[in-house]
Amino acid sequence: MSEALKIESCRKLYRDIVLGYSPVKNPRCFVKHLREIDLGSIESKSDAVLEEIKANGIHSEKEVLESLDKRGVWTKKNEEEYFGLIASIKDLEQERKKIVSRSQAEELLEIIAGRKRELQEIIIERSGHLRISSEFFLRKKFQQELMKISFFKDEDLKEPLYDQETFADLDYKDLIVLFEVFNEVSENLCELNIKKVSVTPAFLNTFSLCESDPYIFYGKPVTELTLHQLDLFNCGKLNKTILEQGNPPPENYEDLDKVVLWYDTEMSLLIGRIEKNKRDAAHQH
Amino acid sequence: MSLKFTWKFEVNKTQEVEKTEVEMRDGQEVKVVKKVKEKVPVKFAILKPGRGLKEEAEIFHAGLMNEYVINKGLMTRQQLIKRYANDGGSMSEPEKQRYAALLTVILKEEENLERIQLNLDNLSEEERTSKIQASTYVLISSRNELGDIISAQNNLYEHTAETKAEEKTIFWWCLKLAYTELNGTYVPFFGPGTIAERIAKYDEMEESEDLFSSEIIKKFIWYIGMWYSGRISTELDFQNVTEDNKSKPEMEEVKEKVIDKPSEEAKPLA
Repeated sequence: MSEALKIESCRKLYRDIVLGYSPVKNPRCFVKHLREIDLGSIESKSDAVLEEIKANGIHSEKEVLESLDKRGVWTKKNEEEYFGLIASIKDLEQERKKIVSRSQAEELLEIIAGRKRELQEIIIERSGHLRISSEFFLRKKFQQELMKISFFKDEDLKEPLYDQETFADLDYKDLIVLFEVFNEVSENLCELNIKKVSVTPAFLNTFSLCESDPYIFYGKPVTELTLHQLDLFNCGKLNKTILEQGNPPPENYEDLDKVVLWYDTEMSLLIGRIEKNKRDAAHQH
Repeated sequence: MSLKFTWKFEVNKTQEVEKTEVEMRDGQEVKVVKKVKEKVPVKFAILKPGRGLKEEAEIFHAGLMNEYVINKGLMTRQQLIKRYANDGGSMSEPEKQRYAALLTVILKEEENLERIQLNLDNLSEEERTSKIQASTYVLISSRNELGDIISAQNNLYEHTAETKAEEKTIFWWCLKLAYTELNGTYVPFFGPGTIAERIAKYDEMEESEDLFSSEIIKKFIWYIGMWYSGRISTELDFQNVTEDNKSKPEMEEVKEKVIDKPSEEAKPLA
């Protein structure tokens, strides 16, 4: 029953991605999936907002970090360790994608989880120091703007859930509800879930008919596509390439994690083969 | 948009009011306007801030934190706690030793005083009085010194950037949230202008030595300070702290300076 639900959830998610919004029951509304240009229009205001914030005597993140370093509270060494840890996690995640053995992958996953826990502690301390920086307030404004443009009363995404004045006066607790709903929608549309949608026959069958053309698939120019639509389309292209290699994918779609893992593994092997061919060709020359 | 208030209160103000009385003078009815002192209730209110105002306050507070932390180099509470933890506590080694020594002295002296008071050593009355005086002196001075150490420990956190910024932010909130009723409408107590203009109004009130305004400002700061620290937020909380505070001198006792001699103005009836 629960396995069938997984596929069902994927179908619903696929529908939401194609339509470009997620319906929400409480509060009854529709959360618009954002496009690159939506984010761009918020960011275009950031310079003016930043100036306004700085006019209140609030320093930039860089200036706060310099001051913290001078006083030995959060030093350049701490900063290097912080960025070093982020880079090491990224490297390990890249490495994990290339690993074919399950036991090695699990071992690496444990190391990554440990580093992430370590990073979390550092992030808490670092962001605690930076709560007085102008960028902190800019991010806050940015998130609020996101909420303002994401919530609608109707499926056509024409009527905002709150007009300008009402939104400006919304209490924190109402705003937190919006943040929670937005995060829930975003988490549901995470990278793994989009990958799961991309391996389902419902998606792949349709995708195989679109000649890898997003306009044919979505009926819209690429600039009008949401970030999730683009992600799903890119996954589709990769999956199609993998299927063209001739290896049959698992037929049991009850465990979508396994199916996603199969596609990831096939992709790692394919990259490996391409890299090897490149090296061999270079060697021959 | 109609204003919402967290709390409304009334304070009686003793002020001169004009009272018209009809008197017979030289066989004629005349209206006599007398100025008499009377308690008049004045209404005040604390505005319920919306998110916009709360965010304005956050930015104001952050500006102060920048000033104290970056420009003036003050420590934050978190930094101070961490530093004390790294240094093995908020007391230096000699301070710790002195603290322990004082505690020992106090305990011993309390025992000693009890022994003298009970006269367990069969001292003469003269000796006993003298020893009681000496022991009491040691006890009081030791307790005072110990009190100073404890108070200094508490004060350590008074000089963090947060504490200084909070004090000014409470004052900022006071300028923004304090309202009073005028002709049936609630208006900002410090005027409707910008923060700078409201500060000027506050200064004007303080300089005028108007006791009533001074007391009202104190009352606003007290309520808003409690609200800011999170100790009170609902109407019921405000009600409770007001009840608890009733033992304090009543605001009604605050009186305006009034002209000693009531003036009289006689007007013949039209």
